[in-house]
Amino acid sequence: MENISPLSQDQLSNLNQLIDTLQVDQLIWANAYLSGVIYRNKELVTPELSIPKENSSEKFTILYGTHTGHSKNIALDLYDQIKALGFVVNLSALDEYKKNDLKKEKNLFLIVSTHGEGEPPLQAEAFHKYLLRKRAPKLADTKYAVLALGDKSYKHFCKTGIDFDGAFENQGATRLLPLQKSDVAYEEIADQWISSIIEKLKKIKTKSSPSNGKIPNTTIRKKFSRSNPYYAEILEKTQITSTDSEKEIYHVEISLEDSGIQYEAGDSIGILPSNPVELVDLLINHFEDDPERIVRIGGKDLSLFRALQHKLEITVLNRELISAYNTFIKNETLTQLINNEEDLEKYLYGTDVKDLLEDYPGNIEMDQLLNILRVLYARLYSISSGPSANADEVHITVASVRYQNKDRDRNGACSTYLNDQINIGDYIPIYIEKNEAFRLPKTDKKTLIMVGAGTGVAPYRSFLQELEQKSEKVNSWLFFGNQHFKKDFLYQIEWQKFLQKGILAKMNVAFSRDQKEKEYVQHQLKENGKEVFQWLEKGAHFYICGDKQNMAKDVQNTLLEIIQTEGGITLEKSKEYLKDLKRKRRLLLDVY
Amino acid sequence: MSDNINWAELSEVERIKSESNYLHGRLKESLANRLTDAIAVDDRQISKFHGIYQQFDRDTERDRKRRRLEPDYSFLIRVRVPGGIVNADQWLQMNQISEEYANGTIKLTTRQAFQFHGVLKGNLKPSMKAINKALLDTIAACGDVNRNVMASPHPYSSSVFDQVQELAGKLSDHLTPRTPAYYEIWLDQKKVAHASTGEVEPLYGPVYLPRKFKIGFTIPPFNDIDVFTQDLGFIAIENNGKLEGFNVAIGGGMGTTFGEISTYPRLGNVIGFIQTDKVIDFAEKIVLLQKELGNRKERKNARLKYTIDQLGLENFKQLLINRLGYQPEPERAYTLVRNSDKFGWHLAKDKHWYLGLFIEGGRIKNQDNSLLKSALKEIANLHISDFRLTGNQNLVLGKIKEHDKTKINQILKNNGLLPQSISGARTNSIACVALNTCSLAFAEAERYLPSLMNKLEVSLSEFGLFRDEIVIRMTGCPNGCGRPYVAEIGFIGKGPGRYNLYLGGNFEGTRLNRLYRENMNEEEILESLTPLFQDYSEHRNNGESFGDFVIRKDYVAPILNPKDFKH
Repeated sequence: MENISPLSQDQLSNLNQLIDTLQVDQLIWANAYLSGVIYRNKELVTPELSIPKENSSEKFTILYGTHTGHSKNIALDLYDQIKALGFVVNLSALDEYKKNDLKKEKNLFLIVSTHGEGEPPLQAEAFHKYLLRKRAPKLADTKYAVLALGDKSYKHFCKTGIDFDGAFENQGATRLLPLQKSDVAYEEIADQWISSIIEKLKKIKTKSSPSNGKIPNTTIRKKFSRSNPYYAEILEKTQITSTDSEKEIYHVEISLEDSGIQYEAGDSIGILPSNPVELVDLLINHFEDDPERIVRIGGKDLSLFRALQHKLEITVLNRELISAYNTFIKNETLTQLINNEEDLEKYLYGTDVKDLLEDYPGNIEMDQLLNILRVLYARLYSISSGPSANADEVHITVASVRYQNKDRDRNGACSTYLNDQINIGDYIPIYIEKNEAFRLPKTDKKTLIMVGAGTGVAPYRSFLQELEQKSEKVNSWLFFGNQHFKKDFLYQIEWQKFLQKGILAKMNVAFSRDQKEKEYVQHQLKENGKEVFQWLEKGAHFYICGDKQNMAKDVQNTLLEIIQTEGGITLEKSKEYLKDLKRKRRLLLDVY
Repeated sequence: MSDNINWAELSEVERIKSESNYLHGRLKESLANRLTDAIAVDDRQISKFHGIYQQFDRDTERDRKRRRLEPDYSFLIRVRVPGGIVNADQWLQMNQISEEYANGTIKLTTRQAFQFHGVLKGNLKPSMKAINKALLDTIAACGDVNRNVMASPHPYSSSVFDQVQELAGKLSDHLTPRTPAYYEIWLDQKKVAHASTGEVEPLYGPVYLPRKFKIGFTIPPFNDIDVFTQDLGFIAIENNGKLEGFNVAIGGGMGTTFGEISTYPRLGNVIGFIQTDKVIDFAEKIVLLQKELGNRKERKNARLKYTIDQLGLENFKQLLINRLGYQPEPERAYTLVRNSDKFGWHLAKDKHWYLGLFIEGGRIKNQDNSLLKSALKEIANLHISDFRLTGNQNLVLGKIKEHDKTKINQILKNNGLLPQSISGARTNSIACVALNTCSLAFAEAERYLPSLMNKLEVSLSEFGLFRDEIVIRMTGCPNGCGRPYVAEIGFIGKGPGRYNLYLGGNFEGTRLNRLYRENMNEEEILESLTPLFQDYSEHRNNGESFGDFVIRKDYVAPILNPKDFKH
């Protein structure tokens, strides 16, 4: 095996020898022990920072590559805190960073996310290519730390961050901190990562001469986040599909009164859900455990029932969990599954922790399971209200996830929590999830083509409300799709009004199940290809929101076809055209 | 109309008609708009001339609004059948359309038309094409034009039946709008405008009539088309098996509006007798007079009945005579015995058998064990009868050979339709559609009358009146589609679950009824009628009808002057 660790071959083989002798519970203990060592003595295991001398031009540099704005937010936090200590610090997005400066960097902090099938965000693409090519610059004088954001439900978790971390090392740079990977619930980890850096800097600062005593006037932004959510009151909850619809979609209005929370059109809200009680019961019964037994999760004591309902992810599985689970049960079939990506992908779809326990029974205790379960993450919903029209509230559009698998009713953690358990007057934990990647055009004359299927139409309601409120000059075209015209035409009356008022210039709809041949938004798009292309040529921003697996792909492929046909160019040129739209942030996606 | 038209003082519909370019409107655009299941506001007027009403489900309106969904819009399509007779293939086609494009049922109307309900906008065009394929159409089934021409479908004792039917068809053709809009919009055809004059609508002109116009032919002793409720009614005069001509009644009409005393139901006045060959010209002249003289400012007062009363009957008659160039002959003697249908098997003079079937509410459907729709389809598939829509929402299977009778009986039996045990009151009942689709309705009618009848039947049985024929009609509003004003017992919806009760029409359909009790719920209705039924069963004269009895016993006074009618 290639040694990509910071350990020498000897150290590594010693460690492996030790690991081979350890039982699982011993391993877990060792893991925790090492974490403790690291936490207490970070400076012992990490190199010293190069200290910028007074008046020297040497500085700290923070780089970020972001799609939705998370990495940027973390970078800003780090920037504020370093600056607050009186150091010189430079902050830059990766696509604005001068590559020639790289060789000169002494201390480099990089925060970067990973998308889809392990791809870097658009902003980081060029730099990623630059650093991973053969003739990348040598960085022998550079010390660095990478914070990688990702999502454990994807196969290539944090791949871009891993790439960068490895590339820096390959070029001779020295790690200040080990690569820190973070799941969607990144806040706590990001805060810890920043603290580790700041602690180091403080130490240096006390050693070196104090600064001129000026207190920097940067304020740490106090904000509600996943780890510190705002408890918001539900003001309205109405099913907006008809009673006979196969789809259960709710319009939910949530109060932001007095919270000071602000949002922009395009943002999402994160909601911390509660798991379905039925599933919690099933798990506790599986182990014949006591729901009131006190367990320790994330450093806090609470009942087993509450832990499973509110703290841990049990409605979905991920690769890491399955692998960790198999270290306990050591099941040959499961090992085979883990090694067969295609089958694993299939298995992951629509199964939960109870399935895992049943399908691959083995020797595992509840407490062991608790240790390997992923922390319950917030569900994100695109905001469907315009902030100017609804400053004190936020609206979302929620489709219930319900299905049957293996004769058991399955309920999505958040959608059914909202739709079944939460009523008007109740309070739910929320926070705003900024999405810089999905904004109204900043141009004077705004031309928009918006494509949304199902609840994917939500942010466009926000857009149009915003445009109406600001009486902006706008030329907008909405493509909407769902199953049935009569049953599932979400916000139908509201679009009709936007059309009457001219806020919306055109609207096309596709209802897949109203006729024998299924019709989707991309078919409507194609039918109007000529005009769509004209709009693009005139500078239109093109938005796609909704299902990632099928809809977003199909729409983009259709767009490629349209550009190729109407532009009279090759497929290659058409791909470039599309890529250019993305680069200019005129093709914007909010897909999930 | 004069040349200097002041559009501002005319009713809105007049503007819409004049701007419609002979009923084109913007229907094509409306049909193509996929963002709504409705059509444009103006087109909702124009579509009527094409036989199409926009409706929505009033049951779910409020709920859908809360869900930010538009009302559940759908359309009613009315298929004209002048004289009411179709063949088996046409029946099968109607059956097919109801299943493929509508709500699965067929409504037989009080004007011998087929009605489909719940047709979605996207299904309008295919429906219209399918109707055309059955050699039927929907043009002028509604709108400010001459509507479906009615003619009695009961041939039992008449030798002139076929002649009258043929004449009704000819008159219908003569008064059908000529605009190519219908063919262009629905059938993708180009139809050349009237060849001889080059005018699009030589008879109607660009704004058509001020209001709807209704014509009916009846053959005594039947008055099943309620000849006196028509704008223009023809009463066939037969002499020794020969059709001599018609007594003509003008100015009948049912529609009224609550709270508008200028509106009232009116029975036609017989103004004389004309020869058969003069019928078409006579009808045309009346239509032209109404076109020119009718009120175009106030639609509520635009029917011929108001035009006549405005001018005075004698003055109107004089204008008509001037226009005709001759004076109608004096009225001939005739006798009418009933305005309802006859049921069961009858051998007519043409040596064929006819089977009258009571269709509750005029609705052809399968319900519970009573598989009416299936049975009729089965019968149609045998091609051994024609199908006759009556003016009372019922059906007559006609032209049946002696040896085919048993087949039909067997099918009806197999489908749970025979033997029928229905009260005389129920078989003489009419209910309009009303809720949930008619936008005019204040109360239920078709959906409610059957259950009210169940309760009335208990009372009728108690007094031994189960077999007695009493004409009962219920409408959800005072516009009069179910002709409630000539019923012996009339119910007109005032509000949800509330009805005005009218008494004193006669069994022949020659007398208006009068308001007896106002704004009653079911309990009050039963409380009011039960003592009357008891009195009737105990004190009626031999053969005295219920309507005559309540007049004789002073429960209500007869209406002698239509203007005395009050809601």
